Amino acid sequence: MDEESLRRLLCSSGILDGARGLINQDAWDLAIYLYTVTDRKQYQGLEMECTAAPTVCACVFGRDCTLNRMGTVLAAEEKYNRAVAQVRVENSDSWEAVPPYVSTDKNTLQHASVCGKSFASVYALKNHVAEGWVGSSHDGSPEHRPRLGIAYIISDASHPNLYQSVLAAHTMQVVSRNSDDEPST
Amino acid sequence: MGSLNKIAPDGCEAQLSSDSLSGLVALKKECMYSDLTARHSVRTKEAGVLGLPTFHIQQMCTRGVDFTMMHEAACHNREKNGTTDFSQTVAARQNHACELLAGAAAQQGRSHELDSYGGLRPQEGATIFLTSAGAPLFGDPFEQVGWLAQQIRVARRLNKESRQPDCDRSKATRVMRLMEKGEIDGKHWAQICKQLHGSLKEKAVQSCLGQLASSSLDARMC
Repeated sequence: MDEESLRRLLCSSGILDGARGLINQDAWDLAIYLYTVTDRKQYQGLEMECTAAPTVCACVFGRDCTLNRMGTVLAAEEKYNRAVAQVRVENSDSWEAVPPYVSTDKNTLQHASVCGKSFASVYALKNHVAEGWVGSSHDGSPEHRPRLGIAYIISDASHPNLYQSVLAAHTMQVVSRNSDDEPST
Repeated sequence: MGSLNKIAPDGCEAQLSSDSLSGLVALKKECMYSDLTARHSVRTKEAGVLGLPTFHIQQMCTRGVDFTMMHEAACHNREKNGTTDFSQTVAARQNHACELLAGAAAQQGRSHELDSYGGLRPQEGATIFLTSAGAPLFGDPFEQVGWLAQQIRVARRLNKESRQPDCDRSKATRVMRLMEKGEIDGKHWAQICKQLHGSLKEKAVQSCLGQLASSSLDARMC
């Protein structure tokens, strides 16, 4: 049975009264379109998960990690990453002394995306990120984002010695996507 | 919550203390009572990352672990508000220690963070985010998607206009074009617009967007 016959059968069948409202020419065409473009570039454009843009890394399931920094300013051989690695401060793992990644064009400050493009304003950068496809590397550079950390202490309140009551403690940094300040919890 | 699940013995009582009241409320509503409607749940900012804690809390509940919650004001807030009573209790000191540890962690991790940064970074623990260019959209998804659609429209409009000569560009997009060039600060602009009222606001908007010969404002004034 070809596509057109199947569509006609579904649209004219009395059994599917409830679903008939949903099955019209446009819905059918959209479903066929989505089926035919599965796992292609258009899927990224529609912000849908596909092999090119997985939302859960394969390494979570024990397979090879899919993180890829190629083509971004974060790749090892890129000027930005080398400059960040060369920052020498008291604590080499701190962000405090890392200068903002900006380029100067006609003596104006430029805001950079990790894809390498730079913009005259944060507004233009945000518009650029909004236009990016899922799986594409567009975002502000790391040192522009507010830093977020979380910590917890698990202690036994019934323990007579306060200093021995701590059962576990942990601290970690979490990724922040927001460009505005966020409170640490 | 995973660590607590491993440590907590059956039938014990766990008291969760935090200086973030909104965090505690979200934890209570999302993970413990689970009585939010789907509409409320998707509009909870933390809903995406609270999936895993919910799993652990439910496991502990089946083992008879009871949960209570306590809001412990942050040390700096106590000093600011002049309410330093009870600031030396065990819970208050531990809460302060957590705050200092979190602050230290926030400034560290430069070498590690670059390994997992970028729009390509997949969300390991949270799968129910809507994303834009691979980055999750936090907060109310309806609002976020609306903003995103608006931003895309504006970006495309500006892109289209940038290819036209200056004389052919729309007056209505002048502010947006200046924002794009960095000559107008978007946040300050929004604040000024909020502070203007009545006819002053109408005039300001009119001067920015341009005026049609037969606009409703003119009709009213005639």
